[in-house]
Amino acid sequence: MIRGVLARLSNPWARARFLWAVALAYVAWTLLPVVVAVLFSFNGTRSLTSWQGFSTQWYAGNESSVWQDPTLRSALVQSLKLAGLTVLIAVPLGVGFALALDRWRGRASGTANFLMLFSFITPEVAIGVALFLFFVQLASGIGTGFTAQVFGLSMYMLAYPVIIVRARLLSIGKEYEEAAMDLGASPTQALRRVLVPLLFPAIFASVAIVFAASIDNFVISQQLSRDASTQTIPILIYSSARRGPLPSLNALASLTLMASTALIVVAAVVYRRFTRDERRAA
Amino acid sequence: MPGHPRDRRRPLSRREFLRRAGVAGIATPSLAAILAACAGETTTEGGSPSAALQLARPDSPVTLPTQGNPAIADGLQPEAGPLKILGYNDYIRKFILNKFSDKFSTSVDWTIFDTPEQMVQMMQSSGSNWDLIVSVTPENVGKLAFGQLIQPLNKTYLPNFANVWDVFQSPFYDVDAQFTAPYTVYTTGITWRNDVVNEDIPAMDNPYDILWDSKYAGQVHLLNGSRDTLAAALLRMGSDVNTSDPNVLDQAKQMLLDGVETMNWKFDHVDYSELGTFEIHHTWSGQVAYYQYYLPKGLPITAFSYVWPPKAAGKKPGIITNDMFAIPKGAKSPVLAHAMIDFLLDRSNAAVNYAYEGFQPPLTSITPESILADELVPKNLSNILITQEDFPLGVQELELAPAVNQLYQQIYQEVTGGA
Amino acid sequence: MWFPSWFWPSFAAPATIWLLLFFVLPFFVILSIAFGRVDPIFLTPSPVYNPLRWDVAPFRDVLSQIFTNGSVYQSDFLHTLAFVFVATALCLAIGYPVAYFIARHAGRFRTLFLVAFIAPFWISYMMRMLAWINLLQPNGYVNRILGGLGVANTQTPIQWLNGKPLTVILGLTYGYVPYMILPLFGVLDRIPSSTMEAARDLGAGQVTTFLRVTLPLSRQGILAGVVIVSLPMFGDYYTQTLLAGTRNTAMIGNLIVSSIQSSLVQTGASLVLILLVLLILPMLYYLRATSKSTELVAR
Repeated sequence: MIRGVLARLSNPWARARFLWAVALAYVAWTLLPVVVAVLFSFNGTRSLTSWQGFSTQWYAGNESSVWQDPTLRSALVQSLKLAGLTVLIAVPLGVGFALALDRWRGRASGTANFLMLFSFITPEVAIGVALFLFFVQLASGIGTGFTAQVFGLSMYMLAYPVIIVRARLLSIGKEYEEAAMDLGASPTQALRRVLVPLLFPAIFASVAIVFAASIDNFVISQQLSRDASTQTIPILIYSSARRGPLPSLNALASLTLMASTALIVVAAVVYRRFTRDERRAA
Repeated sequence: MPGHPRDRRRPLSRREFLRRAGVAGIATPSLAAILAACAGETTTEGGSPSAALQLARPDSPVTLPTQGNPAIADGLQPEAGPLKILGYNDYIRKFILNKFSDKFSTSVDWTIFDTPEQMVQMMQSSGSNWDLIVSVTPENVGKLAFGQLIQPLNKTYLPNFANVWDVFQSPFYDVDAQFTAPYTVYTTGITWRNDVVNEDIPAMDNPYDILWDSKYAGQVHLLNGSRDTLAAALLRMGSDVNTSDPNVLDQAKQMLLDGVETMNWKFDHVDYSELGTFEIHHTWSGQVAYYQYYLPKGLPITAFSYVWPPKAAGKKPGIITNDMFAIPKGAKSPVLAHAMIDFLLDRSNAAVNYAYEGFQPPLTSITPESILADELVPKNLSNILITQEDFPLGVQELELAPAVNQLYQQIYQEVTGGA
Repeated sequence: MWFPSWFWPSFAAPATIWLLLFFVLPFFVILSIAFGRVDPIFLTPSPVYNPLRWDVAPFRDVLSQIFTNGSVYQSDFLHTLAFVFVATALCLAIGYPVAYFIARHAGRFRTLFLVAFIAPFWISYMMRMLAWINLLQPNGYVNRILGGLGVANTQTPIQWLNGKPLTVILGLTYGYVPYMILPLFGVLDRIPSSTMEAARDLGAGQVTTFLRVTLPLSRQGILAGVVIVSLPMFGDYYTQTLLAGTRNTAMIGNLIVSSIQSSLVQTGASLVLILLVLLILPMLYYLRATSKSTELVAR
């Protein structure tokens, strides 16, 4: 494959040679820094600029490794907890919202939709600061901390499932349910046994995307973070980046990268399998 | 799939659009009013101050109020923990933290703050979340105590308190040391790379001028925090670092704004990523020794020099001050917090901590002779050592009236742009 | 139709309540603080929840500061505008050819390239910035490569991280260019090849086809991409802090966050409001365009 690509690049008559070069340069520019960062998580010494041999000490073995340093471990656990709870709240709420928007013809549905889209495009720093002040001034009984992070983040993630599920609903249409009811099913049965299974790939995709986005979230999580026990991985990376970071930080980030990648791959595979029949029919 | 144009539902008209926005906007005040009524009018932690804030000065000492703010009872057992500390990054040596955790079968949680005003903000929003503050400075003790954000210490848990210097047994900002125990003493001066910078800074008429020297543009760092940053300018001008004179402050602000243009300063206390490259830094005395553990390969600690202007040729003013421990009110593990304070007031622990941190503990048994004998600081930096006699030579940053404090913070924001 | 009229709306209720509680209400708190009072002793904000008792004077103060020459508010706003403008332009310049390529020329490798360009979306932003911080160290790989190529002097390595606007702009571009590629790809993908062939048949050269057929057809995508990229960039503050950290590169987000973390909370709330007002037009335009298109498709 590489030979083919190189042949194409060197052939002055090949079409779109310039575009190929640009695209390859882009991929390299995007991914190489990350590859280097992952590589250095296996560095033999604590340096982040000079490679000195392969070692897995920063994953487990060194006292500052991901496994042994309680700060890193706690950040990993916190990120997973926060992402998990956010998914549990945002996806059902979002799916319900999408269903309602699709079926509901009232005036208020437009307002609700408007609100949801607005939450999606407001700059995160504005939302983060607003939430911080909210939990400190008005909802001071809850205050900042893990609960606030879950509330704030699940609100911010609502838009993803809504958009994804709504797109899926539009492509499904109403024919299947109507057919089921023509064949004698009650409305609830049609809902449960026809619509929900059809929605499954979109729901799964929403879970994957909300999870990946939550693990990566920085501004809202940091504004609502109370102390070291509510630190997530992005917060830790940010505060450590200028304080003499060790390769164990790279190791931590690499672990989440592998987890997100695995999740997205599984979601893509599941989505394709479930929609395979539809694509074949289309 | 675009349908026939006539099928298309009327696109969102402007009126419709604004109406939807308006509906959302009206619902909120009523909802907020309901919530506010339920939550009561409380905003932040701490009780309402019964007495007005008194500004402590060396010649007018202040006894901090303990009304309605009792210390913990005697004879309690240390809690299970974890001990939650709010402090500057890496301000207690990890080795000591581990030793403490092993001794008391607990763990330590460290939350970082970067500047004193951040610490005050965090204390105001959720102070009782932490057990120990490492550390507080004299300019903030008053507002923390008057605002009932910290609790009085119970000296029965601090047998090692007798080890501290006399001047801290009853300091002017906290008569009878009810709320604080000293952690470190330090001066604020100028650090430079003697292998790269050829000036003889101690011999300069006004060493602070070097921080504005455009020859070193892009290579100079100033301290962050509203008081310390402004102090660089105020000390250069020879003015009072606690001034409330708006003209003086305006001059200082101008001086800093001009400097930012030419020098493009970074504001921090340690920037590890630049450790091998910065050339001049306005620092605290302890940092210079701390650097020895973070130097890039090939750079020895002897490349760094420090000067405290009051002891240099020009005898310009300089800051000398101390950091203190304090325990937040409502802390969940106050006995453990007291134990940590006592742990660090113990001579051997303090010495081990000092060898790493570089900030000198004000204990009577740790004298400059013993420090040099035990090689607790690098030999070329022996001028960071401090004795009680040094205090009159320098000035301290003291508590400011709230409006003045805000002015300092506004100037700080102007100068740093929030960065 | 088959369900009671309250059935479907009830599905929307939980999400709507969530949005009201944690989106609308917090912004009301911002208003209440910006137009409220400040405790005179501790300088903590005293929010005023009754709109009738709001006091706009402090807000007007902050606003006037922005128009005062030389004030940090003005310079931070100007930096932000400049950075966002240049970075968005760069994103477009880089993203358009890449999107065009994937849509029309990738052929067999299309899925592979799609994966490569989707990857940044789930690689943590912080990790990508951390990667660049390490590469841009004075003794990092970027300087080493530049030195090896003879472009830079190895004796005085380039200080990328000491407060260069260039570094911040490149960092922002790096972080946000995937968001530009997505809508561009969507729109370029949908241009049928028959349209392009028709233009060729009619005698248009490559450049003419691009300028008079492709570009106009992709206009929606370009606008969407520009909005999706620039809106979050306005609120970005962490990229600048990580890659530079000086006053000359500070952005509005830095001012907002540093105000909240000191005793200037009311100023911070006012700045948030000003930021929203600044962005309200592009935001509303985007909202209107999306609701129009979704309702179009819904029919």
